[in-house]
Amino acid sequence: MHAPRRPLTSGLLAALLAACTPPAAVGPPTPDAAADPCRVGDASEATPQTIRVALLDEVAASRAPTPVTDADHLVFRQLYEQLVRVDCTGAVRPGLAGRWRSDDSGRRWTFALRPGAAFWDGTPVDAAAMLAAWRADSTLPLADLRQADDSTVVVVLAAPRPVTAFADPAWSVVKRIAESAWPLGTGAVWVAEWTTAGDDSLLQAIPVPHARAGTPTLEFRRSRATDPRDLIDRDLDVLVTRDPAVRRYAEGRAGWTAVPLTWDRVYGLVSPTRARAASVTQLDEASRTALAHDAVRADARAPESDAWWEEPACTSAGPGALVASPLRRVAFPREDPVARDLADRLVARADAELTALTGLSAAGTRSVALDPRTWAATLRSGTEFALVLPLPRRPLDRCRAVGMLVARAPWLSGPDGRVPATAVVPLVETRASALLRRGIGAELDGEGGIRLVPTTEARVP
Amino acid sequence: MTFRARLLLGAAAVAAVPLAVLAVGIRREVGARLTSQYEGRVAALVTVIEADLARQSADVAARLAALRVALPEDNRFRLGAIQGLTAERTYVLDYAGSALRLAGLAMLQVQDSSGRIVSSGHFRNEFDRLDPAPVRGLEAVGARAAVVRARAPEGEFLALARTDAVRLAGRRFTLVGGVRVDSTFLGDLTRDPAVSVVLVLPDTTVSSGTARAAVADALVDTLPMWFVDPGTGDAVAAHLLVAYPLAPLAALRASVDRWFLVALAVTTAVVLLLAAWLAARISRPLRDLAGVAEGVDLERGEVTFASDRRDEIGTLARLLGRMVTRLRTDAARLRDVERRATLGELARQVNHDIRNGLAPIRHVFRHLSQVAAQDPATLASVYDERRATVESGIAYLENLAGNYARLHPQLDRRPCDLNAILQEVAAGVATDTVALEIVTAEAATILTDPLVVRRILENLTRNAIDALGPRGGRVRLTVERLAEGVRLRVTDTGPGMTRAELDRAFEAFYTTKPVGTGLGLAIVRRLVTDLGGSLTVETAPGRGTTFCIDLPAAAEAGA
Repeated sequence: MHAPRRPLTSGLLAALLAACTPPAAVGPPTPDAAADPCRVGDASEATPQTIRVALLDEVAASRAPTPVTDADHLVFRQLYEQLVRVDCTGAVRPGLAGRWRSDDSGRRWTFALRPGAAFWDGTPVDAAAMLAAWRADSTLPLADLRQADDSTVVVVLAAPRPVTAFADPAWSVVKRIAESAWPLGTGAVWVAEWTTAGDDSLLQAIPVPHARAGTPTLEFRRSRATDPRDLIDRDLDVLVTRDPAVRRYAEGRAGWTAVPLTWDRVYGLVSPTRARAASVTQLDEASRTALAHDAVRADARAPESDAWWEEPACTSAGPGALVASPLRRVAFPREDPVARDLADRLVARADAELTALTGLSAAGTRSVALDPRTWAATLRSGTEFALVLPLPRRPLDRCRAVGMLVARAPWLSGPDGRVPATAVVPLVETRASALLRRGIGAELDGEGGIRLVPTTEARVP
Repeated sequence: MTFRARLLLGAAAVAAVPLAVLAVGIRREVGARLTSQYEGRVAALVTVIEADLARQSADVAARLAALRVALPEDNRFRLGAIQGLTAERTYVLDYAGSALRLAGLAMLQVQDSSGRIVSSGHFRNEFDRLDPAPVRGLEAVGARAAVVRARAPEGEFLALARTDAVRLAGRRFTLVGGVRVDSTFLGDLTRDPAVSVVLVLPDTTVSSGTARAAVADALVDTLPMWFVDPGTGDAVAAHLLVAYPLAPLAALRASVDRWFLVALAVTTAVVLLLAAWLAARISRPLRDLAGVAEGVDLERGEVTFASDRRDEIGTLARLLGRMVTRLRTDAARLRDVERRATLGELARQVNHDIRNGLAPIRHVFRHLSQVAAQDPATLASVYDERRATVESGIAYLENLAGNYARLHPQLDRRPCDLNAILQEVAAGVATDTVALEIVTAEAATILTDPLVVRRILENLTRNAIDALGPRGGRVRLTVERLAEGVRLRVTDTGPGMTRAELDRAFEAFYTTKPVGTGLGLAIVRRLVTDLGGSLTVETAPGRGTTFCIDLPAAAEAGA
């Protein structure tokens, strides 16, 4: 039985802690599978035994279970589980944990494992295994970890967190073994084959022995040189894309369904000059809408989510050094077309928006695409006039996300160790679309991803 | 410089100078002809480039014209741009980008009548920006080739651009399109990687990729163009520089220079070998003659210049032979004359020295004769007084005879008291009309030959007495100790000597006395030199004469 959700109390203290502090004691909601809004795709026909999924960028076993690329997200979601998960409506659902509760502070959490949880190799997942997995990750904000019994763990956090924080991939329960590059997870499929040849790669994930009957095999294929539309024309079953042209093409093909995923990404403008400016300008709603509608060739809208990087409870190490005379460029990651469009539009309007946003004359500014390594170095050093930065729209653990943001761009941190309220100018929000062949069903999650295998709660006896 | 060296240098010059003149001439002629050819090529190339630019500009205009025809047929553009349909907004914004790719252009803008960008192909997100200036400038230029500066997200670039216009629903839209002008474009204009093309704009230059700074040493021609100022829209003059490198010409000249140097070296070597052989043929007989001449001894007659050559060398040898024969004859005659003169001089010197030695003896005998006649009783005592003088004179004559027997006297150095020698000389030459004064010095003993010192002092004292004449006067003999030796002075109060007389005073046989031999001072100078001393004379007309003889001290004299 899951404990019922307790409504949020009103009041000033509750309002201040609302972002990071969960209800004092919560439990998973009871799913209503028949009316599940997160179930997408036409699964009326029999699900094929093998689902072929296209990957549009690189997957790395070394990053598992914490994803970096879109392909990481897609693959790792199928392979690994966290204690809980957040569905497309924002509701928290059970994951590896069947039940949980918290004290009033939001720092002490008790999780009870769901019965029958096991690693890929059949080893049961117990409290000791969970503690071992988390203790191996030094980035987790742990104050204490205790084992209440074989299937119950007590997690004491360094700072209050909502339960959604435990849906972060960092809380995945994995077991690393020498025989495999992939850490063993607790998902319904496991990596049976992983080969790369030049620009092509194949990752085959087959059902674990204890998986529910009917769990399909997943074949993830990456072909760097192939147009995604060509894949749709061939033997592909699933493609997740942010390119509206590809989506429109799939929509025009019989037997294909295009499903917009959760808004998962927000693009922000960061500028070293703005980061220390006393007063700065924000884009008005009309300008942000125009950016989303006209400048960006993606499924985009004006930002609607709150600025999680302004979370007052999240602090970082301290202010980073700023470059006195940054280069007159608007930099963006080379592989991101949305960031490119935004940078180009800002350069085109350098004499208007960009000057107002950065507080310096932006005349003569140009845009520059940076490869991943240079992008990371540039973001860290703050040597550019401005940068168009893709960020998660609604991170599961805000403070962790703030910490990661400041780690990437230390100069964003203000004198008080917080990211100033105006350090990031949200420009647009985007989402991807899942292209599903008829007969393929999927479940949307709250992070803009899909799950192709049956959820764990469906397997709970 | 030897005759052989002159011959070699002359031959080398004769060979090298014409060759150098030939090389310079070839070099200049080749350079002039190739330069003329290059100039023609560059002019033709400029013409071709001008036509190519015009063709490319017309090509851009043709592509824009095709778009002008197609645009009114595009309902989606019409809905988006004219009706403002939101659903077609993206299509309008992307229209120029798609059209740009299809038309093969590098830039394309669709502007409305106010100059606002409706759709931009090379910079998609440039929409809604006011940019009427380039259109105004391009329309002013017309069909002529003009370059504009286009904006792009990554920076600006240059484009050879044209404009066209289309009316939709009564609204005028301007199409601005062009092709990129960069180093590749300029390189394609020449089709010759050696030729460089530089587009010179008011504020920048763009070069073809082959040679960015190749105009420095090249034939250059220019082609006028237009550049539309992006700020003002004014069309300002620009030009293309077409530069044909002169490197091939320089290489050709270098090759000519190289071959000239090779030819010069070979020719010089051959000429020098020939000249050396020729010089050897000519100079060897001369060297032989020089060798014979070097061995000529007028005392011996075995060296001859006999030659049977019939050329100038043979004539020269015969002339030298006759000249040597004459020189031998004259030399024998000269030796005979010298021998006679030497004997005569020796006889006069002997005569002079014997007279000097006999004079005190004669003087003693006269005195004795006078005593014997006037006071015979004192004869014995006077004899005793003067006996030493006679004996000294006899010893002097004996030594003199010994010296002459050896022909060249050898110095007999021994310690001698100069004060005593002064006394002896004064006693020997004393007369009634001359007052002899002797000034001695302490420690006047030096290591020297006393006979030579006496001969010096006797000659100088007699000269002084003779210089005083019948009226007499005073003669002073002085010995003076110096730091490095002794100084003897013989000073008289006679008439002194003029400068001319002094210059000749030490010449042999020169005398101003009616009965003098003219050998006294010559002998004195030789004797002083033999002793290692020095002789100086202080004299002036009417002021008497002083002879100073500096002799080295005993230690130095004996060294």
